[in-house]
Amino acid sequence: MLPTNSADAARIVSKALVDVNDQMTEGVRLVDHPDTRLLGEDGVIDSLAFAFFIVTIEQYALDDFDKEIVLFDDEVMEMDFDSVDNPFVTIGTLAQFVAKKLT
Amino acid sequence: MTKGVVLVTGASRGLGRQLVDGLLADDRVVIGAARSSLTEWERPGVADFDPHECDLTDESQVKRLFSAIRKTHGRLDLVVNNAGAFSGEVLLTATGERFASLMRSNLISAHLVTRESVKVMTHQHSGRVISISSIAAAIPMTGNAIYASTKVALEALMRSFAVEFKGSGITFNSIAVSFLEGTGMLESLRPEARAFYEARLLFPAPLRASEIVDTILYLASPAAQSVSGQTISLGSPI
Repeated sequence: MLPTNSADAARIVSKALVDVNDQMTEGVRLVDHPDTRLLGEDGVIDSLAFAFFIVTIEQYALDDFDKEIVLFDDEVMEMDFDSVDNPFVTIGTLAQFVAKKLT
Repeated sequence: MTKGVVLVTGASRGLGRQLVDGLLADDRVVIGAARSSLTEWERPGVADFDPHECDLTDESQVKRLFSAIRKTHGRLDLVVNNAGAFSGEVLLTATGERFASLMRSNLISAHLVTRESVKVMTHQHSGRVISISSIAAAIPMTGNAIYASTKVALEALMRSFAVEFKGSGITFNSIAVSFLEGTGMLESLRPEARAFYEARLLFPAPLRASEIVDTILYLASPAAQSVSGQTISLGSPI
């Protein structure tokens, strides 16, 4: 069983994923799986949809858990998108990052 | 049945208060936001008015205002960025802090409110954002430079949002207003400043708030679905 923050994070990432899929063009869909790549060469999401995804997660953190989180923090902004440390590479790494922010 | 949910900032007094009146009269649900204490402007008993005390220059307070809007109303159809401040001084004596303070009140608050509005409107694939600018943006005058700079930047901000959200179903425009009746603006204006502006307007007579409400309703209507990134100047600077 996932720790509470991890379960909460996974839940709001999934909710935001539904929203972002609703915004994407016909045929392009992000699969709700930890290994789904968001950024880099295999990523299927454009920069505006990605930004929408991130801010929607932030909104759900505030609306559902009364937690004000900022995912695009200074540390992340300075990272290379292809860096292994970048939390936005896959759905799974993003969910872990959100869980950390919810702590 | 109402015609949608509207947010008016700077809703406690002056033009903002009159915009709230006009939009309520047009059967909109109106959310008001202002820094003043709620007891001064909350309008008890008006079911379609939802007032919120909020410092719009405070990012956290703006985020929480929008969280409340999402939970209470679930949508947002129109936003009027009306909140702002004025500072009349010459450039030589203007301090960086006063400039920054006015930028926070007139520009950064509009960015925060518009940014949070877009997050709601994107889900709907529709929405209208209108910022209240000033003819001062088009007519430079000694003593108004800092204020005018914030309004030029505000119009540019709306144009930039229009470009970034092209094709989203959301439009972003500005209404630049001249003198306003019934808001205290005419009384506070120096006679020489008023004469200066009057000489540079095709329509120098003071505006009624209803003219601004009607312009807002036009920009909010389907007829204006192809109008974005524009400034409509009431009073018509030449």
